[in-house]
Parts: sequence; structure tokens; C-alpha cells
Amino acid sequence: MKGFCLFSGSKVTNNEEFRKQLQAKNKCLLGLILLGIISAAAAYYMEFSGKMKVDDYMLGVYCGIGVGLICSGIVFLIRNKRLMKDEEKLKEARLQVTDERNIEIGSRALRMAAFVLLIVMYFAFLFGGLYDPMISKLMSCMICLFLIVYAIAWRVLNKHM
Amino acid sequence: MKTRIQDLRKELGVTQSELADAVDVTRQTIISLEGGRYKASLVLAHKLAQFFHVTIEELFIFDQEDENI
Repeated sequence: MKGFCLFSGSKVTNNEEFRKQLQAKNKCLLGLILLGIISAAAAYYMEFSGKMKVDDYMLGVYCGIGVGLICSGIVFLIRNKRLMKDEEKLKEARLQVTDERNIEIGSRALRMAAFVLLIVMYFAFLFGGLYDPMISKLMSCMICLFLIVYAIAWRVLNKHM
Repeated sequence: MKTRIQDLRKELGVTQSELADAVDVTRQTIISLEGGRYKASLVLAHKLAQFFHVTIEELFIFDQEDENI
């Protein structure tokens, strides 16, 4: 799955521009690590302060997400730092994200994933309500949100292209 | 749509990697283009035509019926 990257695609044309883009991405990764620290710290605070009563499952979720974000942020940060030092690998990575076929594959895969997600949400909306009406409400809100965002994005892109 | 990329590349003695490097795409894209599984964008078609010193029409053979031209 070489070249696989969610929301991939870039217009950079040389290594220097790509290096600047990676530097900007590194700042986002630092934000991701910070989010992870906040999530994990919140879980520990809830566990040990005794001020809030949260069940063990949710504590595990907060803690797991926090640690996951921290670890993935650090791994990608190290990867980007290594890439920026090696011109050959930097070029290889740049071609993977700027390659028009990879971008096309990414947008088609995203389209398929969105379609499947909509179908799954529709069935969850239809049958989830039998177990808990909240599931139906949540799913209908998610479907509406998806369609609204799609319509707005379409209008914005239509004006700019 | 058929292409003459493979023929011209072999005539020049250029490898797929070298061609990919020259036009700033991955080798996999060149393989897909040669196999006719992927249609190049206008920019890539222009870059390839420039590389081989031919016109886009000489490099890409459009099927008039398939492409609805």
C-alpha cells in the first residue's frame, strides 16, 4: 500500500516546497500530541480526583485515544524529520503525495468510503432505533450533517473552479 | 485510449523509473499509463509529449467512439 495516505494530495513541485509543507505538518503533529496529552490527562484526572464519576470503559477510551494520538504524533514527527534530512527519500515521499494517479485513487477511495458510510448510517438509523432511539437520532443528525457539508463544499468548489 | 509511451520510451532506451523521474510521477503511474489503465491529465500529457519531443496527439491515440469525440 505504498502511497496510501488519507486525504493525500499536494501541489508542491520541488523538494524545498515539500520541506516547508512538512514543517507545517510537523506543527499540526505537535497539536495532535498536545490533544493526546489533554485526553490522557483528562482520563487520569477523572480517575484520581474523585470529582467525576466516569465508568471504566470510557476511562479506557479516553486514555487509549490519548496514548494513541501521542504515539502516532511522535512516530510521524520522527518520520518527517528523517525525511527532511534525506533528499532522495524526500523526493520519493513528495512523488507519492503529488502523483496525480495517487491523488485520483485517494479521491475515488474516499468517495467509495463515504458511500459505504452513508449506507451503514442509514441502516443504523433504521434498525438502531429498535434498541435505543438515541441511535436513530444520532444517525439522522450525522446523515444530515454529511449532506449539508457536501452541499456547502460543492457550492464553494463550484465557485472556485 | 492507446498510448505510444512504451514504444517511444524503448526507442530512446529510457527505463520506466527514469521517465517517471523526468515527469515527476511514480513508476506505477508510468506502468498504468503504458498499460492503458490510467488516463493522464493534460499537464502530465504535456510533460510526456515534451520529454519525447512529439505532440500530444502523436503520443496518445484517441478512440473517437470511446472518447465521444
